[in-house]
Amino acid sequence: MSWRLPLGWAPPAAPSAPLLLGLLCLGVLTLAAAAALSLGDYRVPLEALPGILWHGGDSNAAFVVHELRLPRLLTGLLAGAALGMAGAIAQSITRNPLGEPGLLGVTAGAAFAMVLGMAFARLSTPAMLACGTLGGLFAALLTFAIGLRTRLEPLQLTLVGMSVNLFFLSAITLVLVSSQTEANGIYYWLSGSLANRTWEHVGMLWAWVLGGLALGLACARILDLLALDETMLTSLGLQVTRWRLLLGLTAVVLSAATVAATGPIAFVGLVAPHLVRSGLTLAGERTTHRTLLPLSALAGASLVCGADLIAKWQEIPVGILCVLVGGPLLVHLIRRQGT
Amino acid sequence: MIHPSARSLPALLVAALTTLGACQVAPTWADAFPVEILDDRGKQVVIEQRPESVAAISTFGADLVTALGGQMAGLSTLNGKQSAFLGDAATGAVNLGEIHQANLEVLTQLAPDLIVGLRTYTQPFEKKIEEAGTFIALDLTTLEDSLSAVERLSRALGEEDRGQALNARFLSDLETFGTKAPGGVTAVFLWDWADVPYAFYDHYLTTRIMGHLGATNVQGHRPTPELEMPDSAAIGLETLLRLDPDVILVFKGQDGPVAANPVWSRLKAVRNGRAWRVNDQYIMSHGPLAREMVLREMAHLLYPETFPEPEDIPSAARAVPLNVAN
Repeated sequence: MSWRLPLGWAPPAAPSAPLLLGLLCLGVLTLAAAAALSLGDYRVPLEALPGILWHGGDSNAAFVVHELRLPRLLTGLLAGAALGMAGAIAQSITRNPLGEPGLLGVTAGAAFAMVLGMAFARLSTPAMLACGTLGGLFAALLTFAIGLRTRLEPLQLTLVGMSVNLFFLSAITLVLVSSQTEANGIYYWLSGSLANRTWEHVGMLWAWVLGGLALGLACARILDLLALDETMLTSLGLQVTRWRLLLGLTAVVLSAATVAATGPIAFVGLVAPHLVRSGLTLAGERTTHRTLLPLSALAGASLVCGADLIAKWQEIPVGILCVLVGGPLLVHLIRRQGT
Repeated sequence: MIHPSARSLPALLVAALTTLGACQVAPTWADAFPVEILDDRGKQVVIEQRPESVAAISTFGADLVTALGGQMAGLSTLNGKQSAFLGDAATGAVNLGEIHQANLEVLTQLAPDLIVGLRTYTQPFEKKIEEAGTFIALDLTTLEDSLSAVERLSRALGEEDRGQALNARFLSDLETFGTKAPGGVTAVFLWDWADVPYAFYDHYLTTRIMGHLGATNVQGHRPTPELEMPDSAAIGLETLLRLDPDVILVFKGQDGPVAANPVWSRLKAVRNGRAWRVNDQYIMSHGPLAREMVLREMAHLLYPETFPEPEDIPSAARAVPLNVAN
């Protein structure tokens, strides 16, 4: 008896590089989530986690998982995803490989509003978060309003964004030296931290982030087009300025609330898209925004959640850990690309 | 529970100080100038004559001068305010600005005979401060720092015998209160920076007093015994919930983000009404007035049945309950 292959049969294709990269990020994320929920002062066995998550309980361990660990994990996940995608968008619309949401002024604007609130007012957590988000939106709108005079031309937009960013950073320093309040706490917050984040942070963050992620994914093809020559795009009838504005606002929507909730974890926005690009380039895959945007979001979430596992040990600000973890990883990938 | 040898330390120090006092031939300190003081920069500071005007870039200096019955010429602030525990003593003193960034122009104009400051805050500007007047920089973390600083500064002021008496009285009070304290209580001394509470280690003077009163500081010893710093470290709310001390003392806090966290209302101390927001004297406890106030008020907060509430602490400087509602 002989086996005959059916007509038209082809051997199954090897999984594509984006799929492998996505699975890798999901794997890291799953491990980080499992460790974040089970490790700590109250050790929760992995097999007990589903029961606790589903049914809750009166024990301190169940309380800690529900009220401390889960909101912290979700805040990190949403923040990492938002910053990862916002970074990819910012790099594309400014055509600047060093781009990140801070380049649109949003990070410093949100941080300035939060620092003002910390130094001069005693606001509730939701009021502080709203204050930070509005500050980020205001600074970004200021960048776009000035940048519109040059039709958001990438170089001009970058320069305007940098100026707005520096203006608000200086304003933060001014507040810190003149407010006569204990500045160490504010410095801690300015390093980017997930310590003691609650459901209030998740509740405020999820709608902005999920909305921004959906908008970003819907506009992925336009981002591919925006990489082409501007004269050609205009001759083809594409309204370049309007698309740049819409995509810029998407990055702002993703970043403003995130910075308000976690402080400025700026490095994630810079490094996550580059990690993805490097990974895809090493696999010989062409990078399009349809793969870059979701993978940057996944890489950002993995980086923040992974770094926060280490940060939690000594309550080190996660922003610092993201640089310590992501920086060497990026350098390694760049060196491998070079060879 | 604190080690028995630690609780008997005040008795040993009282004995040592008494012996030291007995060896001296009652000098007239006002006539003993010039005086040389080794400050905590390791610098020999020469005070040529009894200082008539003193400026302090730390509450400690004002605390000691007030305890000795003097008046401050200038004083720094903490969070824009003079420390409430000094009462009216600092009224009339020129405001020198925040402790970490003293106004050197005002200080230079004031030109006091003697300036006292904390080394960590004044180190970057020490040359400028020295131009304004004779300057003594101190490190203030432990009980030994407090005793040594009181002894050295009172000598610089021409009041060494009274400084020694203040130290001897405090050590004696520490011993008396420690003996009377029932013990068996766990406690923590926190301060919060934005979202993160910090807990003081055993060696900080305030927590040392806590230990002498028989309370166990749940933050425990510092990881680097050879160094005075850090005096405190971040403590996660999860850790705080696991340690769940009987009494919580918080400097600052109140309606900050930590008190708004759901963990806060689950803590035993909060549920039992034994979480307190304490005032400046707990964080700057090294002067003679502050350490006495901390000892007597903390004794009451730890053991309200044994120690009555001290009534001579200015009302603005007293501990207030830190409940969920406020």
